[in-house]
Amino acid sequence: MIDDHVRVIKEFIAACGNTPEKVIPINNVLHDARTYYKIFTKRELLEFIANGGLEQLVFDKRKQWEKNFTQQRPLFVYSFKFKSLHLPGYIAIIENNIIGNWLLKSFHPPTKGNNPTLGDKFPNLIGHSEE
Amino acid sequence: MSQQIKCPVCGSTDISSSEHYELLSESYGGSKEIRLFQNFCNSCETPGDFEHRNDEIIQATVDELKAKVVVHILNDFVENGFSLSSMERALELPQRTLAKWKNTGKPSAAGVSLLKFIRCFPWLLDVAEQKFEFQSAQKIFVSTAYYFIANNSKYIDPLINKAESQSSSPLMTYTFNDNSITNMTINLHSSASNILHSDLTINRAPELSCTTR
Repeated sequence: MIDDHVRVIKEFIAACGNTPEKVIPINNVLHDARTYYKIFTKRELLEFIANGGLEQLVFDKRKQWEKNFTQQRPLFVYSFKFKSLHLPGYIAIIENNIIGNWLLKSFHPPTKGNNPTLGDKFPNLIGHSEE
Repeated sequence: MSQQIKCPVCGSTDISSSEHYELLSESYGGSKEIRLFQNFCNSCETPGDFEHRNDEIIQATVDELKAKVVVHILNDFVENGFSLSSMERALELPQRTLAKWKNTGKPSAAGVSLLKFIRCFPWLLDVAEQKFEFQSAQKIFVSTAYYFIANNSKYIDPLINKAESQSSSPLMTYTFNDNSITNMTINLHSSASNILHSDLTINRAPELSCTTR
C-alpha cells in the first residue's frame, strides 16, 4: 500500500495511451494545459502523458478527495510534480473506482501564477492545499 | 438534449451547460476569439467538457492560425527582398516547398516551427548557408549580438531594419574571408536615423577585438 502511488501513476499513464476514453480531464485542466504548456486538446494532452512527457516525475502527496460525490467509498487524489524540458509542472489524478475511469484533476505549474501563497512557499509549516 | 449527457465523474444526468469565449493566440498568426462550451454536473459540482465539443473547435482554430503564421512570415521575408527559392536552397528544402506551405494553408507542424525560428532569428539563414557548421554559427551569433549591443541594446526587428537599410547605406556588412571563417570583419556605418561607426574584427573565436568611435 505504501507504493500505491507507483501503481496508480503507471496505470494512469498506460490508460492515457491505451484507453484514452477512460481518462477524463475535469475542472480547468484543458484550459491550463493550453495556457501553460501549449497543449491544446485532450488528445494532445493524453498523448503527451502516454509518450513520457512527464519527466522527473516525483510523488507529491495522496489525499482524500474533498469533493467526493459519495460518502460510501472514499476517492483519493494522487498528486505528482514533474518537469517538461525546463518547465515544472503539477499533476493530480483520481482513480475513480465507482465509475471505472480516471479523473485528471489538475495539470498546471506547481505554483500557478506569479504570486505563490505562503502555503506554496512554506508547505511544511502551513500544510498542503488541495490544488 | 442535456438530459442525455452523463457526468463522467458520478454518472449523474443532472447536467447544465454554459458557453464562454476564449482568445486563442499564435505568434505571427494573430488571435481569434472562439466560443467554448462547458458542462457542469449539478450533483457532484464538477465542471468539464463532457460532450467533447471544444477540442474540434480549438483544433480547427489552431490550424487556421498556423496557416496564417506561414503566410505572414513568408510575406515578411518576400517584402524584405528574400526569394523563397534561395531560402529553400539555404535550408536544403525541395524547391517550391515554402510556396506550397503558403498556398495550401496546410503546413506541417515542423514547417511552422522552422519558419518561426527563422522569423525570430533571420540570421539562422546565414547559419544554414554555412551548412550549420558550428564555428561559423557561433561567429554569426556573436556578430549579431555585437550588432545588438552597438545599437544601444535596442531590440530591432531585423526584417524591418533590412527594409530601412536598403534605402540608405547598409548598417552592417559581413566579410567572410574563407569557408572556415577564421577571420571576420563587421563594418557598421552611419545611417540617417542612427549615428554609428564601428569596426569589429574577429580573428579566432576566443579573441575578440572591438573599436567603437
